[in-house]
Amino acid sequence: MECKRIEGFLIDYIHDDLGPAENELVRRHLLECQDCTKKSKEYEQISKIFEEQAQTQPDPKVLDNLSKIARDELERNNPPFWKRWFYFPILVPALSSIIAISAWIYYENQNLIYSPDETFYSRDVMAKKIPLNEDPNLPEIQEETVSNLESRSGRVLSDRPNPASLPDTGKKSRIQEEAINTDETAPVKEMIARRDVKEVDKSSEYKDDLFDKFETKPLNRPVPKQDTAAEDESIEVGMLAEGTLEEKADQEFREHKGKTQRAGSYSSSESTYKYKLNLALKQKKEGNCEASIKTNEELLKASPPPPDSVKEISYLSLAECYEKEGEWENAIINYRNLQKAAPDQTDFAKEKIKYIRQQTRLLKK
Amino acid sequence: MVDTAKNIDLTDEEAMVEFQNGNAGAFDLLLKRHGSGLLRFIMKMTLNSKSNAEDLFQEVFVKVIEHRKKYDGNKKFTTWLYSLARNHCIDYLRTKKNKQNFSLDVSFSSGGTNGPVTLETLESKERNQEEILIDKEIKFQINLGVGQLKEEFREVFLLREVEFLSLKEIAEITQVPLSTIKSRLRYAYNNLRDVFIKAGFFDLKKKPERGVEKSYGM
Repeated sequence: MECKRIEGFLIDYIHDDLGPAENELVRRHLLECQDCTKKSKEYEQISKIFEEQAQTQPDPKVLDNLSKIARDELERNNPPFWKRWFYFPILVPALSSIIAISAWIYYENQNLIYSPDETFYSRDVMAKKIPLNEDPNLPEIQEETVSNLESRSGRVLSDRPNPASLPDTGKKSRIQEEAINTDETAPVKEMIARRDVKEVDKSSEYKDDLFDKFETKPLNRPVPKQDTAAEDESIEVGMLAEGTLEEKADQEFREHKGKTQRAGSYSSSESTYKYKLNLALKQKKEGNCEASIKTNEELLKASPPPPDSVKEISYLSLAECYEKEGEWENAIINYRNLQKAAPDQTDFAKEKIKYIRQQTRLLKK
Repeated sequence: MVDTAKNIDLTDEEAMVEFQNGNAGAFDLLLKRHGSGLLRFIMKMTLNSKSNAEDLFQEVFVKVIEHRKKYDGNKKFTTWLYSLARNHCIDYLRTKKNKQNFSLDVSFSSGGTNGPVTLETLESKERNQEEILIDKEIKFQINLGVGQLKEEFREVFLLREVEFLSLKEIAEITQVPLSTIKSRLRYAYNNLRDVFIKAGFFDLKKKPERGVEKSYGM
């Protein structure tokens, strides 16, 4: 009975897997029992003989083949990174969405530059692209208004650059420029007009006609070539429309200034020139020739230098101010500068210089 | 074979996880560590020649490659490996139904001796020849004894005595209770002892002890 019980422990005993108590129990039994001792030794021999079994190495070809299979399997299930990345299903819609959103934001920003508040920008831009005679939206009366205004203001604009080809200056700036031109040239024409007094009576009629049209129609169109025959008529208009046109242009220019600023830095330097020029003209009109001279000189020294159209008016204004002040030499210098800035005014300038010299001679006598 | 030096410090479990993550070198390491033991187990379990056993060996490792994602890194690798091998061997034995037609050790059968070597023959040879013949006889007896065991006893005995797995691991591999494993192991020992006694194995072992200083290591 005891041997049968001990036999159950014998295998664990030879493997030394028994607890201390059981191990001691088996050890004592083996000291007493010959049969169990013999059996234990036989078990040990069996165990030992299997332990000593030489290891059987697999054929190297088999191992190489298995290694290759493993690599092929890994490569098949783990494609290169770029391939996994490219075929990753979620990336396709994600990337498409990102591209679409980016494109939308980009074009949205592009549109913001020409926002509805700045429609005059768009119109000016369009004016560059659509020739005057092809613009279906241009009313006939508008052209007529401009033509009347300019022809009657005494300006010969045929040699001036077409506004449609100028940089975008805005509708109101153009109005102001025209108004200034009208205002500025009026005194000069006045002297010429004295030679032809019989046409003066017509001027009031032209004036009324001009303002009616000016108030209803914007002057944002290129000016057609001026017929020189209209020069005489323009003298009177220039004389009478002088102050009123200037004020109107000035007011509209200021209203427009806010919009221009919102629109960014677009033509900011030109706006500054116009503003200073207008200020100088206003000062001159108020009789403050000294301030006007100072403003004009600041304007002419500005960097970058103002365009010839601005210089022309500025020199003329300066010359007249000096003339009023009795500084004949400075007046002559500025009339000469006027010739350089506006070659089409050469005759006028020469005439003025000649007139000043006659006056100085008379005064000397 | 690819260089496994970079992975040499990895445990079996870490190497298998590395292999799961795409490190082929880790697989080579496992192959190197367990190739020999697994082939021996398959040979004795299926009672096949080396060349036949190598086919099964290759199939088992192909299973390891294909089912690598099923391996749980928290479990011992040898348990998982020998589970695959054991199941594959059982499938093979059942499919071929070659339990009775097993060829014993090929090295023995191809060694020029047909059939068991008798004690009388051994005693009539010179000393060196006698040792060789004893070795062959022992091998034969071992294979005979193991071959005579039923599958369930043989697998337990081989896993315990040849692959040195613990009883707990064997219980996991074979998916039977630990007590059953113990009784199966005891039964296998008793059967082998009977076979060896009948073949005079223990008497054979005594002879070198008396006359020749020879161990039975092969």
